[in-house]
Amino acid sequence: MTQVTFTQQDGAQVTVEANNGEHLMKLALDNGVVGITGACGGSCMCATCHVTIDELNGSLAGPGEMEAEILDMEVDDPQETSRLCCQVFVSDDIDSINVTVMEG
Amino acid sequence: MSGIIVIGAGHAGVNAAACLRKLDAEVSITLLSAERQLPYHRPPLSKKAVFDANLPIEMLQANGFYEKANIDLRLNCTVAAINPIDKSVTLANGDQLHYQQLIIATGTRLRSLPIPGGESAMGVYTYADIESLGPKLLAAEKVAIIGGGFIGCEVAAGALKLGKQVSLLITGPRALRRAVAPVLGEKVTSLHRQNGMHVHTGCKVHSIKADGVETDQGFVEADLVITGIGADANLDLAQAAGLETHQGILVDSHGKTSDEHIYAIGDVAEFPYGEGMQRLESIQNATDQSALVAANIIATRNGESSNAYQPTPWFWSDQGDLKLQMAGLGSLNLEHRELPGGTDTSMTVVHLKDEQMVAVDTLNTPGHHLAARKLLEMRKPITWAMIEDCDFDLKKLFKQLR
Ligand SMILES: Cc1cc2nc3c(=O)[nH]c(=O)nc-3n(C[C@H](O)[C@H](O)[C@H](O)COP(=O)(O)OP(=O)(O)OC[C@H]3O[C@@H](n4cnc5c(N)ncnc54)[C@H](O)[C@@H]3O)c2cc1C
Ligand code: FES
Repeated sequence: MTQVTFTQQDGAQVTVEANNGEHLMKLALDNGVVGITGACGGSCMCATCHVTIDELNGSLAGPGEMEAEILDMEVDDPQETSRLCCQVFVSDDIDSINVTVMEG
Repeated sequence: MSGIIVIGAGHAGVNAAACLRKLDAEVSITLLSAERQLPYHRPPLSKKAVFDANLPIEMLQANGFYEKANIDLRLNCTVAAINPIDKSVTLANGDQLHYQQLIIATGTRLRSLPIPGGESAMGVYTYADIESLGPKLLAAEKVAIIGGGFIGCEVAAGALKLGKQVSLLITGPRALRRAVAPVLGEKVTSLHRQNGMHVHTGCKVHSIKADGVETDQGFVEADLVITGIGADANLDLAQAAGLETHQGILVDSHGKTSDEHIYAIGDVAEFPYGEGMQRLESIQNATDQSALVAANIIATRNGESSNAYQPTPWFWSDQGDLKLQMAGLGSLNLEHRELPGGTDTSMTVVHLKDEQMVAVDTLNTPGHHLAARKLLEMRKPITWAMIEDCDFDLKKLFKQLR
């Protein structure tokens, strides 16, 4: 189990316990996190699931080629810690992760 | 107080309802769905869900969303008729609901195969489809897929990955014949073949039997037959209500049908595009058109002016390890030039009209796809010479022009 905390643009936080293999976009949708649309259903095509990673207890692989390209081209103001959260999967390697929901 | 009714809770209908609520906290919104499931994403059905014993479903919105947003979502609720004269819809159970504005988002339905045994072949459109198809697919050894469009290719490639013996039966000379540039269609066809798929091109299907498919190229053994031969717009309600239709429900550039209180969005709508009319079956179209029509309806209710739909179409398809991405609307009638730098498993093809870029198809080159999307969104002429000057690097060209 991994503890995932989403901080919305309005400052409200949603914390959930997540199972291995789930991606953060699905978690966000299932738990009504505001600001994550996930228009492409997690196909890494739309950038409507942009977050920044604020805190990570554990280890996580970096973005793949497609994700890196989207972050570079689609996101207006990409941060060092920007990710498309449909590509961030919960695993045993992560105890907890805190992310902030970004605009579009 | 009657408000806005949306018929169909697919990608377009749900997004329209959500956008309406964002723009107007008060207006009454009723979302009517013929399906039993909470609204879900369709693309993963043929890419993931049907191959997974757990039959995962990806919701469009969280369970509590509709209640929280005060959207009256009614599942298992089919609309039987639209009555434009008294501005109401009649439900299958006989109830009547009144609207001020109506949005038709009834999508498409799969074409069936008009051959003996055709009714036994299964397609992939709804979650209910994969609930019955999924277990059969996992149990099958030999699978035949009829139709070489996106969904047929996705299901065939996924079944192959599961270790099934897969035959893909295509009437045309290659997979994705109408959907992508010929050189890319050829490449995809040969990559599927290299992976062990039996691709039968130029193949006419005569009948479906319990143990396989009778074709003009002989008998193809299969214990499961799946079809993917396209879909037609659900026009019945609109036609019976006297709305103008063609391939889809005809709308103006603002999304309005021939009745000024009725709008149509998503797969079912045929809208002005370029010099003609266009119907698109894509998530991009469902998302962007529904957002625009929601804004236009609220603007109209507030006596403000509305906006025209000017999309940059894009689409994707995951076929095993092949990621295809299309930006703009390509066509077989255009000129096609491949960008240098392709590999055994990657390719970028530009569709040109009078030396100008109209669309770009990519295979496993996501950077080019995104750059093409961005370049087309600029609505500036992009010529082949400009692409050449940037060493055929679309990203570099975009960064130069932006
Ligand atoms: C298997 C599959 C894979 C796909 N993959 C991709 C992809 O990779 N990329 C992409 O861009 N697009 C893809 N698409 C296309 C995309 O899913 C559609 O463009 C999109 O779903 C269209 O949304 P829509 O709301 O217009 O129609 P639909 O999603 O078809 O929804 C229409 C809804 O209206 C309901 N309805 C119809 N008549 C009535 C009635 N009388 N009363 C009440 N309800 C009614 C239907 O039951 C249905 O639920 C795929 C489609 C399928 C089927
Ligand atoms: S949901 Fe579309 S990129 Fe993540």
